[in-house]
Amino acid sequence: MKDEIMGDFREKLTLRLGKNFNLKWDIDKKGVVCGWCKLVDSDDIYAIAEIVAGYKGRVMTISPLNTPSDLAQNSSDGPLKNTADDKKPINLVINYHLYFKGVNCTVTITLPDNQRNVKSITPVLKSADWHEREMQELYNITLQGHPNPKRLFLDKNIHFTDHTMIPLSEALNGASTNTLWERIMGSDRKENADEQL
Amino acid sequence: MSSYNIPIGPVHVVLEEPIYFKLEVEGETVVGLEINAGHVHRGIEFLAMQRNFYQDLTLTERVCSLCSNNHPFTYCMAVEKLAGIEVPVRAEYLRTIADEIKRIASHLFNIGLLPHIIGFDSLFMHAMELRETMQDLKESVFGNRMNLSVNTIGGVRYDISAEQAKYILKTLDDLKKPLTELAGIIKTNASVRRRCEGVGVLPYDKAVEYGVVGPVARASGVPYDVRVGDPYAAYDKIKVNAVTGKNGDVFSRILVRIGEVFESITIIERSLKEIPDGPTELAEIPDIPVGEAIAKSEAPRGELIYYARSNGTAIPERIKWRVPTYPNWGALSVMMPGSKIADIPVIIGSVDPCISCTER
Repeated sequence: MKDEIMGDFREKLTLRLGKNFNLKWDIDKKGVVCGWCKLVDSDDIYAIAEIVAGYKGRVMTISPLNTPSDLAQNSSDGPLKNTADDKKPINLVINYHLYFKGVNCTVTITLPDNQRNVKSITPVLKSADWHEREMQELYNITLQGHPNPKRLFLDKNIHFTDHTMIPLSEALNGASTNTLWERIMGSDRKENADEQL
Repeated sequence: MSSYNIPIGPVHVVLEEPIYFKLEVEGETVVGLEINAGHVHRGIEFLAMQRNFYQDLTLTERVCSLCSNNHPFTYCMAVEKLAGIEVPVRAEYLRTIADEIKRIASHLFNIGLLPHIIGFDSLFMHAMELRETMQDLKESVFGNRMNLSVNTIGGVRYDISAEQAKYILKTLDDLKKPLTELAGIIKTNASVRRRCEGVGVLPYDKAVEYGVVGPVARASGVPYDVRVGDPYAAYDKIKVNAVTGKNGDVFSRILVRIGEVFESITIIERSLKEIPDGPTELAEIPDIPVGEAIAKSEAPRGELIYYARSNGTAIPERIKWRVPTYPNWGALSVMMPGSKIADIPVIIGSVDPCISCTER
């Protein structure tokens, strides 16, 4: 069963991407299959997402990396230095850990120097939603075509009322009951008044 | 009909931990949901890349309390895979036993939490009393009630003597009767059924679409259990029956967890019977070479995945993990709309959410 899926996945990749990928499979002694696939063109991740969606698969997680060691060593200027005035390019590698039909597969894309844009795969794989939003804020990546690219964690307004309707400090003091209730009721009256106008 | 936006959280009596829900309601009915997290983000993932591979064992155990064992366990498996380390067979069984003991304690907590939310506190106490026997068991065998600290790279740091094995079997045996009673009450009690049946439904196709995992997925009929689909530790030698439901409601989720507690007892009993003699860890501390690997385990809340990458130094280049609650949050936007305001805490509780895990 797993063999068939592995073969089928490779076939589909070849059909969609030609030779622009490198795929190998690891099978451990307990029969767990882990695929490792590197894509030449980062935009091809969307095609992969479509193939996985066709299998009714899902995104397990996404792990971005800033300039991993092999890229740093291959840099034309020698290994990258970690100094404040360092203007060396940062390469971003993104691993998409996918699961479909009983096999795990990690698909890797490398963004060109200093590029921070990546095509969102959430429109085809809903399970990518939170992972993409998280990498957007933790790795400064701009998503293209994400249906809801709002911040997920660490909202900038976390301490203010436009985030929680009531300041966090008031809520933590347990003093929210009346204030909060009045605010909720008030918001409805305001909306109704707006409608009447 | 009046429509309001009502907040639940970040600090709220029905939430064990802080998270913020902004709910759009029309009268008593929920029509929309927005979730915002970040209140307990501790940057543990970043910290894991500042410490060496062995220090991370202690760190990962502190990501979460209820599934604390699964974090270092899965982390070790990822590093072992990366370094090509073969774990002794006895250690694999010992890991399995620790894993299942934690699962029983975690599930009993959630099984108790649901009656508590619906105001059936005597049943909550009944479940917590049973859980207490598992806490005592953990304290007796591992020396601690929550963080077991049993895993190390290449094996485990504990062993079970014949006397301890007898004690574990006796404790589990004593648990069966009251557990059957508890399950009977939950399955038949009119109050529980009225508040849980048909509430917070997640249909099969939505469970697949949202990529939910663990008891939440299995209650909707998605049969995936990492122990069966991608076996690890001794799960390739011990048969595990994935417990599934089909209605995808709060009631199905609680039934799946009850079924899994019984299944875990069977797994521990079989493990203790079949466990071979031999070493429990490697003779020396291994070096971690260049490479990358993923490893998965079935934590009490579902599939936990770790990705580890090493550049040959003592400090990992990347450690990334995704906890089971993480993909399950999104599915709340399917479960909540259409339900009453009073059902919100029941639905949130049925996902068995872990916010510390989610935010790391």
